[in-house]
Amino acid sequence: MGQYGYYPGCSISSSAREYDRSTRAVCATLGIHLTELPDWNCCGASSAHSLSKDIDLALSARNIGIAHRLGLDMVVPCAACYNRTMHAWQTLRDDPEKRAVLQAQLGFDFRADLQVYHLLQVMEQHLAHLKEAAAHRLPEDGVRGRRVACYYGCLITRPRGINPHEDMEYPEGMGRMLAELGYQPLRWSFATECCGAALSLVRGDVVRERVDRIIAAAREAGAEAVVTACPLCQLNLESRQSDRFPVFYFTELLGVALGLPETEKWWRLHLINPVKGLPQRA
Amino acid sequence: MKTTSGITDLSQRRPDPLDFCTLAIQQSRQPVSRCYHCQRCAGGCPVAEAAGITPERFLRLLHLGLLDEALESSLLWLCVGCGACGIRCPNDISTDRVIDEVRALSIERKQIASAVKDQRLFHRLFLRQIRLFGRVHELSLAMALKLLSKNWFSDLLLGQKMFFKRKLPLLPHRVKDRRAIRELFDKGSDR
Repeated sequence: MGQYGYYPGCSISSSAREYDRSTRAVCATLGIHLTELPDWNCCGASSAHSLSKDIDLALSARNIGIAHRLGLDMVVPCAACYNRTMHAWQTLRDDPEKRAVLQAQLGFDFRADLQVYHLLQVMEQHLAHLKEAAAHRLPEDGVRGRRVACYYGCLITRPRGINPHEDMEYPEGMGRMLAELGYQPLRWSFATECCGAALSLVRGDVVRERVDRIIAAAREAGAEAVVTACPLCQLNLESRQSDRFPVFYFTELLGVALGLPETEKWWRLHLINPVKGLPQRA
Repeated sequence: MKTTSGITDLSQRRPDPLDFCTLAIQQSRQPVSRCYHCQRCAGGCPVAEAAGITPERFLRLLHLGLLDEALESSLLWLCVGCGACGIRCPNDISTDRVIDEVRALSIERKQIASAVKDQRLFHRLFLRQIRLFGRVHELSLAMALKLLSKNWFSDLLLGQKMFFKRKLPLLPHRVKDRRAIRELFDKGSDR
């Protein structure tokens, strides 16, 4: 069912372990083969481009080069990693001068046919298969079918043109996918509102205020949980909220729909156990 | 002294604030002069409230060559690069890109004002980690930041909780080819 060069990103092996586990489990169930890029490096996140455009570009170009040597499309689970990698990919495609310098420095030939995808896009491409696989499984009654607010954050859809697959103000891919699997994604206006991102350690107050607004908006829309597709969004939403509102990774909800046995282990890794926070069903 | 692009090379003489601002705008490749202050960016900016200044006003400071005010404004280091200003702008100006250029120039020229210096420290420690390990090691990053910014006790409970959930590994995951990473950094600053 397809093979991808998996660029996990730094958070995946630490603060977002449940995202990594659920991603790998769901992909294995669907027969999507993930090959972790050998010796990948950090994308620079929001810090590299804040201080040096060149370092930012070179860091992501090196990862793209590694995927090119494998001859694979890249799949990226983190919003910031996706954003920086896509930015470098587009620069390599559109700027012949920079392309020449980076190709020589990093030793690869850029190919515009080798794509960079956010994990959401890959999962959406396999939606038919996902539905089929989910249909055979027993329903897991705690989480399945819940009303959810799909939260994308900033960097999956911004800036303009970075993501050819989604609307930048009102993305719907995650909701479409979850609706097909029996969840009830709701309309709400905070899907792409910033969580405060990398300010979390220095200005936790700013992030807390942002996060509380996002959680309040989800609650007001009637959601029972928020669903994310980014390790930093998830960490901020869980660690900076004044409440104990459940926040899931979207891959975990796919895992529930597929009836995977290891979901219980994912919940225990959360800072706020999301299943315990779900309201009782009437 | 003029460079090939016709921009005055400021390293050759005493910096002029307006030159600094013009260079930052030019390097950002954003059509800043199109801004007519409709303030749509201001409505979308997640940090404008905390910074006490909106993105369009920041652009205005640069336009007027009010460099000290721009460098001292909290927005310079509070901007998280979320891109909301850029997609809301009817004139297609991404103010976050302009802010990145002002940051880079201010460090290059060592013209660093004191506002929100801890976030600047965060970015620098973050890059230092990549240079050292090729990846970011959250535990030592957070500890270095808390020590150097003298916020010794904030987030201790959170850190403890993450540590016990094995979400903060003691040792960093390192890239094997660290020489390649160092080269990226060294060439990056020359280009």
